[in-house]
Amino acid sequence: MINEIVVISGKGGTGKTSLTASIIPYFEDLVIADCDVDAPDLNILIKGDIVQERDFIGFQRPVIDYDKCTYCGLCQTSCNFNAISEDIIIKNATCEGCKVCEYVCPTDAITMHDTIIGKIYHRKTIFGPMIDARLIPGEESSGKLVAEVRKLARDVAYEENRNTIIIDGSPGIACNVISAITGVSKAIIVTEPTISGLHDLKKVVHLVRMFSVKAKVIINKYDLSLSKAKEIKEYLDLMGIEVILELPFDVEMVNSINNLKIPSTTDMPFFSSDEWFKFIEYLRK
Amino acid sequence: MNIAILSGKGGTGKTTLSVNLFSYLNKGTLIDTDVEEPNSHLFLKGKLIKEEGVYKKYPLVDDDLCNYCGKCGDFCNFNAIIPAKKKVLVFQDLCHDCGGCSLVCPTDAIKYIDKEVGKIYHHQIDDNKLFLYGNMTVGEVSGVKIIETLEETTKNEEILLIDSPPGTSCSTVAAIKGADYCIICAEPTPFGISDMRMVVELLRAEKRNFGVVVNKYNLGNSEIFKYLEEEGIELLEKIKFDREFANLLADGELLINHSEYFTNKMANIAKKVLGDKND
Amino acid sequence: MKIAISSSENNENSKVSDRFARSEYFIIYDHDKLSFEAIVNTAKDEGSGAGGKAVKILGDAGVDIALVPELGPKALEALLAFDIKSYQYPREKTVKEVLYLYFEKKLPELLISTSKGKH
Repeated sequence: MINEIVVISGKGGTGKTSLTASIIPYFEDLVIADCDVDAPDLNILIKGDIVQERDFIGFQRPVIDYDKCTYCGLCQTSCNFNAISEDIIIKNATCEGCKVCEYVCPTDAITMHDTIIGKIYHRKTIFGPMIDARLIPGEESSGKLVAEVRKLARDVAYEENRNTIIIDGSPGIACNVISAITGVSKAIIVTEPTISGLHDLKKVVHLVRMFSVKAKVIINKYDLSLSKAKEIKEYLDLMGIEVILELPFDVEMVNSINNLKIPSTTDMPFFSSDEWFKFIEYLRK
Repeated sequence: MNIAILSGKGGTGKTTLSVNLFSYLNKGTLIDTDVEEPNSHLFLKGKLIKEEGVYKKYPLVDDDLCNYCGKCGDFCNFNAIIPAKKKVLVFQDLCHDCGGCSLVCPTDAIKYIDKEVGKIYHHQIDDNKLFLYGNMTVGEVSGVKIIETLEETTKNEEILLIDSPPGTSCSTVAAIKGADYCIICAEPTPFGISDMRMVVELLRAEKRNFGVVVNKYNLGNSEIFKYLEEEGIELLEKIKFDREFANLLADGELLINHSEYFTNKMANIAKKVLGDKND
Repeated sequence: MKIAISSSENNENSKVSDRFARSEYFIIYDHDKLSFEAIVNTAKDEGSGAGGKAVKILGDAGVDIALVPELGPKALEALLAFDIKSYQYPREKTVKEVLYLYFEKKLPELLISTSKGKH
């Protein structure tokens, strides 16, 4: 069975992508899936050539034939998403493709057409194949795109007989995160010792519980507030979730990103510590 | 005047900027539309004056009226209603509330009932300031409905700050719908620049005026400033990273209560964005 | 009696799929005609709600029994509503092998879901 590892964080900016990048060099039979489609940054550190690029069709959207349209307004009043303006123009950003407008149109002026909502890239990196995607800004349905990235990653893993998939998930708790965590072998939640970090952690923990995902937590920059770090640990203790790693704040972490280097490949002392290798060992299992 | 504060990636200091700028202002209203992970309320101490549910509708099938024709299932694009042999299954969490199934039902067997998808909390801060935030129920797929309700409730405010969800997805679009001006909070790392570009793309597509606050500028390199200059984007202010700030934020403190440096930064941003409206 | 098996390819000698709603094919075995037929699982590309849709495909095909690797809560609820019984097969077998296991009564019946569904 494929070992699918997802790295998530309720709150953004906790260091999720830097840590995801840091574990990648330790795996040999790997497929990388960047499911943070709103902020796909993994390819900045894990450089790779695009092998294949294709459009992603998210769903169908209505197109109005204005020669047939009588401006009766029925589509506008029937739309529950306010996606049709009073002068009968489709507002793409709010349309969810339900096709009610097509159904109610008395003159058959509305037809549904495939809509491209993003792009999917298949890259070749020195660590193995990587699938990532980009949503056209403002498009919805990122959950669908995430599901597609994961499916392609699985396909590649089967084809090339690779046993590990590492998924960089998105922050938050909505459909894109749900798509990223369902059915994975392990989830790693990256948090930070702030009041917001703890608050968002609780929601993500709730989510992983709901979807029966096995999760462990990394407290990043734990020494920026030892008291909050302690509070986080107490909470996780109560929930029976293990803190598998605590990383100190180190300016070198930011510096390595600025120099486009994977943090764990620099000479930061943390990445040669026992805790770090123990953590990698856990991921491999 | 409506001002949205947004960021491409999370953790750049968007909420810090929102709550401190809001607290600096003499009057106005703040809404936290980051309904998946609202954090503003952790920093703002006010009095809870109202709490309301936000509801979405989902179909309920009357078994006596249903003739199991299957039309509702064929119509639904979201697999939320599946007519089986002796009953019609409805999956509430998949329903987008488009109304299609009841529209196509030949026997009028489908009614809609309400389901709570989140809550909105109203807080009074001082005498003349209001703060509202939305909170999406865990397991729901989209917060757009809550964001729209927040915006609808506050559409007539004189000065409105909108703490927007990070990223460039549908919920960000919903949050900036009524914004006259947008402030992007960015950090000067390669990730920060890449994510900011996506927001810039979005704001240009939506034809918004915007400027940028570079946060933690001493933790990055100068690429971001080069980018802003090349693109002709206004740099509103730059703010340093300071361990002391990090400590205060960790405990939910407002930085303007502790740092003159930070207060000056807020004053400057308020002046650039609001002009004399804050007087 | 018709039995459906989730399969990675389009014939009875294919490996079974390790997913139900997102498997590539369903192989339908017709016990009255002693014949196999493959149907493409169009539910697999759904962004959300693949479970319910996959079951509807089986229901419309007149399936009585489904042999599956796992089941989400929505798929299970839908199978029950369509009066389709489901049995869990072990991984890494072929479609024919799991069918024999079923006839030897070696597969456990699924009455609760084994995984959480996808949106």
